[in-house]
Amino acid sequence: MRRSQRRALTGYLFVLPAVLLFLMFLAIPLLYSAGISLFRWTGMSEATFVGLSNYSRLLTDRVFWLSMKATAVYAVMVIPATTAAALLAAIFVNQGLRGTNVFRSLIFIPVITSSVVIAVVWNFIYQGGEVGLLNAILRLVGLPGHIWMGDMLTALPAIAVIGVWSRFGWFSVLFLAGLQDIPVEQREAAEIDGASEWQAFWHVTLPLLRPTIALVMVLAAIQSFQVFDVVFIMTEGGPYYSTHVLGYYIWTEAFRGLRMGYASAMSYVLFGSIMIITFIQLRILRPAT
Amino acid sequence: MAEITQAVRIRDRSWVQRRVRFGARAAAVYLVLILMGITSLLPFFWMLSTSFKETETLFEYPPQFIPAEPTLANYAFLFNRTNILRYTLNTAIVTLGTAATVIIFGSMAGYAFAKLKFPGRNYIFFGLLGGLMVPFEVLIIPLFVLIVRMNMANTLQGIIFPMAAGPFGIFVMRQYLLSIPDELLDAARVDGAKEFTVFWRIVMPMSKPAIAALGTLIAIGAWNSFIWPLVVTSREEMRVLTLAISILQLEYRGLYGTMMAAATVAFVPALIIFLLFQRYFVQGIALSGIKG
Repeated sequence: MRRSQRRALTGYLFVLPAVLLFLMFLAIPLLYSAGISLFRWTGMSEATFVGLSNYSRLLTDRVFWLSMKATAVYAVMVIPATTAAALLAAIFVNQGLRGTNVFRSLIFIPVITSSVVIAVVWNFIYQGGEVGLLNAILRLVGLPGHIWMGDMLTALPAIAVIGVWSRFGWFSVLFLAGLQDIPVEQREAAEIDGASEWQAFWHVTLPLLRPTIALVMVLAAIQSFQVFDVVFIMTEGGPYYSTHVLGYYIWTEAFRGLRMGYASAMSYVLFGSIMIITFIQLRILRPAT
Repeated sequence: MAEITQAVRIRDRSWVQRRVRFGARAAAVYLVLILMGITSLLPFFWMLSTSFKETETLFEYPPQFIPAEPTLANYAFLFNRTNILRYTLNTAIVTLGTAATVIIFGSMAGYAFAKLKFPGRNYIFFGLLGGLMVPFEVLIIPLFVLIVRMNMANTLQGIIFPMAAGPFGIFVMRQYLLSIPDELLDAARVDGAKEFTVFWRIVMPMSKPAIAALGTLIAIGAWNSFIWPLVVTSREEMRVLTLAISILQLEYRGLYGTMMAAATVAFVPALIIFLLFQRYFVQGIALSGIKG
């Protein structure tokens, strides 16, 4: 065997285990899922080929549209709030004051916590009456309590708060990296030219952070489209479908309703939505040329 | 003379003003940071505090942040009446198994993509990278069918393999290894070392920071994973902690003290991993190149 051939073989052997794992548990399932979406199948019985009718059925499925709506409303609440909170946190941590790194660690603790732990703890905090901590605190300052998770109007925002609270620390790390890439001279130059600190931030720092903002918003969008755990634990989609997000509908259709084909079709719609939203956001936030 | 003192005084005043302004500014920054810190920690503090309360004292008003009579009753209930030790052990095995698989396969492939030359190298790499875009929802149903057919439902390896299949580890290790100079590896090759020896004796020890970063990210993700274990396990003794908690909260609805104790058991190990490897964790986020 020639030397170059032997080297090539070594290369293939090194990537082989990872590639096999990838093919077996990612690439093939991805195609398999597309196939399943063309069948009516309980997962056990004989599968019946139904063409694209799983997809066309989605158009008239009221619960599907309620799920799309809940997912979209959740995303619209979570994406800007998470981005803003992360940017704000990064700016304050980046002021170079003593001990600020401690705060960077503190806001990171929700990030490393299991979503199930988070859901169980917040479920307790949101309890109605005076049982929940939130209502108790409201009462301390003289405000009325509320049954947060039992009200169609407040259940989804309450879950969105958890989404922002548990993720902004992660994105603030990205913003911190972005901020530290900005040369100090640029801002100082602006301030010497008589710009106030606010103007320097608005006209110098923010435009330079544009790529980071785009990245954070795309990642926050991808994550918010996939929300599941917190809904599963806290509301099971209720009250009255107000928190019935797409990820939850896919799971219930597949593993409670045993409609594998229909659920697969929905999962492809979710995949497509994520790609479209990512593409649009990247276009809008593309660096000005 | 008078003019000079005047000038000095003006300079002094502006210095004092600046100083005061700076002090006020620092105070404002600290205030915001402290508020953010409290917001981040308060739910965990409440969880911990509740886990040490008797059921009768749970709903006292005003809320008791420090239990007046702390009790271990909730933990005793958890350890005596549920299989929580088994769930913790399962979770630990899943965590270590996933992290080890990702680290070993990821650094082997990452090394090949960064330092070895073979036909189709870049096509294969970018093909794998495409997998980063696939949401897990799309894979759950076929993975479930596959794992059941392979007789791996209700096994820990059935939980581990699909979670370790993503290309993230390959990507992180390749990024890191690109920065290692070729000369170092060539020197070893000239000395007659086999490619695997180069990898094991030189590349792996040099990659310690990247391995620590990747390992921490993957371990915390695996420790906290929920939807896949939910789908692929049905037998009680195969549950991981997150799944066990989601079921306990249905079985023991209203026993908030016990629930908070269970949540604490799942929370503390992740916190310890994070505190020990914090530096690597943040580096891992930067290394993954997702900073743009």
